[in-house]
Amino acid sequence: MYKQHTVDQALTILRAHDGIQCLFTTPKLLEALCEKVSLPKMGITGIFCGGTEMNAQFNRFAREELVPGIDFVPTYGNTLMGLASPKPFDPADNYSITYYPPLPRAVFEIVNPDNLDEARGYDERGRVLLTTLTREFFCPRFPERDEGFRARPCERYPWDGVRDLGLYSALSDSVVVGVY
Amino acid sequence: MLQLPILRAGRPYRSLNSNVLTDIRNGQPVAEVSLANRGLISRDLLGMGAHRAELREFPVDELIEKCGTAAELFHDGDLPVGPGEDAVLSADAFVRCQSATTGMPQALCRANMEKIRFVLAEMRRVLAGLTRGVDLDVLDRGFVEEDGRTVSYLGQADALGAVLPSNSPGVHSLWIPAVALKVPVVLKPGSQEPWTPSRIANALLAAGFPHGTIGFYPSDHSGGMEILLRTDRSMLFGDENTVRAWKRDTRVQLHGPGWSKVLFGADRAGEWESHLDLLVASIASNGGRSCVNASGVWTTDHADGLAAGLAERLSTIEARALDDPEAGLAAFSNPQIAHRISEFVDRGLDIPGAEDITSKYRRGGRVVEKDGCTFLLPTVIRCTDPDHPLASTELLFPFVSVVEAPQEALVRKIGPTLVATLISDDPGLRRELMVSRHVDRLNLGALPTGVVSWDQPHEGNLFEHLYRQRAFQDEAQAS
Repeated sequence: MYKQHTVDQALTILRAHDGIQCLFTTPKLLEALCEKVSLPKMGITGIFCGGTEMNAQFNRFAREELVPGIDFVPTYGNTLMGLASPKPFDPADNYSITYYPPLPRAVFEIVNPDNLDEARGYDERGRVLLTTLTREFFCPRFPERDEGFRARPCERYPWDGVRDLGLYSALSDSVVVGVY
Repeated sequence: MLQLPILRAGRPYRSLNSNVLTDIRNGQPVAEVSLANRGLISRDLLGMGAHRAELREFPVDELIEKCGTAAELFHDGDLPVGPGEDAVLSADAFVRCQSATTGMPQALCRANMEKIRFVLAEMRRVLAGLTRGVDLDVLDRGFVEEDGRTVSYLGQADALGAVLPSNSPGVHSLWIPAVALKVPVVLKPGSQEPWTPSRIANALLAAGFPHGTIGFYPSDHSGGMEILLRTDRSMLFGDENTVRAWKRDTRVQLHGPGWSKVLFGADRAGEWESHLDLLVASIASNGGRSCVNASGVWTTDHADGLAAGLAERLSTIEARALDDPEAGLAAFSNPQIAHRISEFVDRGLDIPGAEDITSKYRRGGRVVEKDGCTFLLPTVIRCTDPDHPLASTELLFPFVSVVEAPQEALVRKIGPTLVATLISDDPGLRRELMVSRHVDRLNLGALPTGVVSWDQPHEGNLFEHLYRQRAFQDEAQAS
């Protein structure tokens, strides 16, 4: 019901305004929208998609089938960090999604979930620790509810990132991700 | 490693999400199964109307013929894992893979293959049973004339969704008639047993069914939910907790626990020894994993002797290697589940009114290991209290409670029963069972609960699930 309501709201706005080109949405709402309308035909040229867990298969499905031709940008973020940036799409990554934190305001560490002081090596899986430092706020080493692989710096973002994010496995039985 | 793809309208699709099935004996990977994301399934379901229209163009006689071809391909053929795929499974390789990853002995895998073959080969007979002999032209023309009356049926769904189990491959025979009834299927296999539905799908496609007939979507629970929500007719297999949420949804045909039973009336309760073979077959055939396996023997008398005799017989069934031709017990793909089930039984035995009679006959615990596999040995519980929790328990191995109850209370006490076999000539008891809404399939006489007549419905009639009789008049016909 709530999902339907949210989709109806989005469709109402999309139909009423010709100039909308960019969409922020979740994977489930994007799927629901694409069942109702063709987003390219409605003038959408870019989509920021996030808010819930998104894996390589969804990234592929979205690019190949839901919104082919639209600039599809996976996003990861929260109120502590703002938005992390994804590594630009590269076919060689096989749709794997890597995020880089918005330095210098935020830094990721990928650590052993059972010992948060033990950093993981590159391409090793671990829990995400987020450190935030702004003029107004300092929050060191906050354990996120996510885990992923520690990713090497890339050309555009020359600092550590995290690849193939997913719900921290110890929480997987108690947390519902992405109601809508 | 073998790759089992999703089949999207019959076309192979390899997902970036996958589940690796391992040999339960040594943990070695056997197959990587592609997993469909929920949105992919829902997107494909948007096209089912067109797929059904394509299938509707085939005469039913031709579809039945294709089922016959598929029967042989399924049973004996070398079939690719998807149209155009290089990987091919022979029947023997299929059995080895299925057995290794599910724990079902190879001999039982072959026996279940035969059930599937039979249903495909005998499709005309199966459809005659489901339609109660209506001229199958009704599927081609929409109506037929029978005994001077016009009979017309209207399809209720563009696809039959099926959320399938892992416990026994034989249940896949239940959805197969849909394709001959001109309704495409959208299958979500059990996580441990994608083998049978995948092979049936590929046999049907190789036999010439149009690609849109088959959707095969290994997935997580969200994928199964999507199929149930979005198909107008579906089947759901699962335990009591799984099916409970859908009980009020008439679009979903439920296949839950069986709680099947053998009943002895007062007139023949003393004959139990001569029916031991029937009891053992009812309880332990197919590894005791089917909903048609008896989990209860209810009698009006002689329960102690019956329980002891049955326990002695069942305790001769041993855990054997999966490739042993004599193997009759299925191993647990997750040993922890076997231990938890055994602990559950033991907790039940702490409640007064129940005793494990088999413990007197077997040489050790209920949980045994053999050839790297974990098994539960057959277990007979004598329940002196008909209301004891174990008196109405069904478990995933040969487990049975022997319960004594007065004849006048027997039918009232047995509770929901998928298959009841009654050993009694008492007309009153027979009549009482005939009208009991607790009982689905009823066998009068010495018929094992697992003996299925394929031209009769099972937990609902698939034809009536997919088609509704409607009024139809044609002026041209009338004149």
